[in-house]
Amino acid sequence: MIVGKQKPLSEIREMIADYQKVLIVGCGTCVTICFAGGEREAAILASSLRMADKIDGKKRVFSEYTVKRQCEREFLEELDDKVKEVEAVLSLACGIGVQALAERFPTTPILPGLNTSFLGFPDEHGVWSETCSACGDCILDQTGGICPITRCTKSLLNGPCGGTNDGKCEVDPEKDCAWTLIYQRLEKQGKLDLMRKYYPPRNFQVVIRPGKIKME
Amino acid sequence: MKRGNKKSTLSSTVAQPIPFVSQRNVQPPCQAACPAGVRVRDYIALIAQGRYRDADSLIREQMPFSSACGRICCQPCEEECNRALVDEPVAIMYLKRFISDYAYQAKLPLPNPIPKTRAERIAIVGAGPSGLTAAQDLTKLAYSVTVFEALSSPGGTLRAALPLYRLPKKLLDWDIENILALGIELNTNTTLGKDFSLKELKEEGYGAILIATGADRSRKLSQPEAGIFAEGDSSFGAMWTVHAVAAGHKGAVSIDNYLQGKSTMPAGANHAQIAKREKGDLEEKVLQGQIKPKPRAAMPLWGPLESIHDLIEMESGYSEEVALQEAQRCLGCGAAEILEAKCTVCLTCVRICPYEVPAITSLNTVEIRTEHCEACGVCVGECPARAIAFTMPGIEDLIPQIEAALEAKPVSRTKPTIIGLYCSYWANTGPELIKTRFPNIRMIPLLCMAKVDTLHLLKAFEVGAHGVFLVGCEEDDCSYQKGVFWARHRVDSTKKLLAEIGLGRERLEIYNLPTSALEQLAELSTGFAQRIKQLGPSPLKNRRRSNDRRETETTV
Repeated sequence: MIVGKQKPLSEIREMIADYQKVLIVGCGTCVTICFAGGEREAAILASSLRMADKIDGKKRVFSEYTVKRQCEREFLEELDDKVKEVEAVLSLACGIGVQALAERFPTTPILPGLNTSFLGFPDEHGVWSETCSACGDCILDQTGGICPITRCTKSLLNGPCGGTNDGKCEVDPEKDCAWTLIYQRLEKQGKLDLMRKYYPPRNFQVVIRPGKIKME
Repeated sequence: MKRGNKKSTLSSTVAQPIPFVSQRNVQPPCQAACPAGVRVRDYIALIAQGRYRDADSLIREQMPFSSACGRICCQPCEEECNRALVDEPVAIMYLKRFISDYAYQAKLPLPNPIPKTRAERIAIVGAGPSGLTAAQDLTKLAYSVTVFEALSSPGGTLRAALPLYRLPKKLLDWDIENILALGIELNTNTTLGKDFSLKELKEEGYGAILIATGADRSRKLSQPEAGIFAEGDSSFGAMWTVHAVAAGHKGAVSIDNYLQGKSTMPAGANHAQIAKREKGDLEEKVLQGQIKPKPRAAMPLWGPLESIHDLIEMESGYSEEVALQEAQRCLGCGAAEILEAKCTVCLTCVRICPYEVPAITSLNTVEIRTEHCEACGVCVGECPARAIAFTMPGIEDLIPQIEAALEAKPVSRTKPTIIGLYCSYWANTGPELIKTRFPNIRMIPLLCMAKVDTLHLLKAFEVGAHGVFLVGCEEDDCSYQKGVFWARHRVDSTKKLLAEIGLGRERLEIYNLPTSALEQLAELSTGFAQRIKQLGPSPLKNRRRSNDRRETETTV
């Protein structure tokens, strides 16, 4: 899933500084799950903004609404009347949702309330790790189901480098060395010979950006 | 005893009880077993929080003869009570009596009259439990209701047949006063067939008539006639008060349906899921010390001399302390429920529930397995989609409580109003001490600190608190498994938000103290009140006008 993190309140307040009526739109899927932009987070943000405004002697109107998924045009229809009422929309979706809103409401500024961080999954409650870079050229079959492009700090295809240190990365000792993990996984599978495979420099033209897929 | 329009002098000055409406798919077995549909678990939860007035109001919605039913009832609720699987059923009837006695002794304000916005007039023949229950329901639906009673006073069998030592008359009067205060016209000494006929009632313009005359003096209606309904003993023979009240509810539904042109049959049996608990699960939790066995409180008796001399009842009723402890034995069955339309199956509840109650179903949805749920509320405050409803009082009605607490006038300009949220399991009657010593601290009860979430805390500041603290058990004493952990977690994250907002993290605090350590709380309260005073009024309360440079006084 897509993992995001809400921007600091001060940054959000700067973004909305020029608008008197703002609709906060939560998204009910990925960013709900990562506690960044679901219904609860939208309510907390609205309350925080109201209070911060009151301290500054401002009187602005913040409304809030959460849709099922901001990245689907059909789910945005229910926002039509609500968006008419406001000067700007603060989207708590990932960048995809923000752009979907901006497409549907081209005359209204759509502002991102969070930073879309990465594709990943939860290690435990409240902790998420990036696991996929959406590179369009998957080699997980060769690497024991562990992506070196994403999980090796250096994105090395032919690892490990000399900086692996008791299974940790020399760049960030908090992080596991992806290539050590790959070695251990392949060992369990009896496929250590895959470690000998040499990967030529990566062909970045496999996926031309922006990506587009048509169902055939 | 026509007191329909009697206005209580108190009602205008005292805030109304906090309403609690949440009712969804799962029903606790006590409520499901009650013929009158009394929301047993919910009023027990209100008692457990010391919210007696709210409890009284909630009971009277379905059981207007609360004093009577707190003394004489066949108690089908207690037969179904899951607590019996741990030790003994919760003493539901005695607790109901405690509340009605409290309401009477405290002379709680009578309810306000309901505006009659519907044109139809309804006649009810018989002012017994069935007739007056129907009168209450129909009045609440905004009809004009007139009750005709053959005897000189209302109450039916409860007045005529019960000895004083079973039901003191003043309490029956109190129940009836509460009903009539809604704005019901009562004509006593008016007998059907002697002083008036059904035909005359129809001619006078009554759109519907309910015959609720009781078994001892009624004939069965031989032929159904449009607009005339028979309920209670008059159609089925003698029964318990709770059944008569249930019949009154049904009669009211039939009449309302008839007047609205719908089928007059009340809706069929409700299909709510009943939250039965599993004996094995409860036994395991007892073994692990998660649930502590605690015997049911006995009903104290008056001394023989007191009782005979004053011709009063033999049972004296629970003291407040005993009632609170008894109410806190309730297991809160079936309190948490998934709102499927909102659930995004994020699995947060599955991961964090201390009792492993939520589970992934074969359809890849999440279900709350009510047979295991302890009603701690941890999941409710964490669910990022706000997709878990807590149908027992104590979470959904927390913000109205905070608002009501802050509506009361501040003590003085120099003593900023503080909200103190306390765990009732930690200290039940004790916080009176804080209320007395620190009138600017408004204490609000919780059934465990974990019932509070970030939004509640933010809202308290938003509606005007200058400071907020939580106080409750130490981690090892928590009535639930992880209540303290989650409360601390939420306070920490709310503090960060308060700093970002510009209110400052010091305005929020959490104290975990030994059970009932009130003197310690008093000390901490002094410190906290001083801290808030030093911080000055909440910046939300002390806005400076841009063209006025003088420091404006707090406008709390």
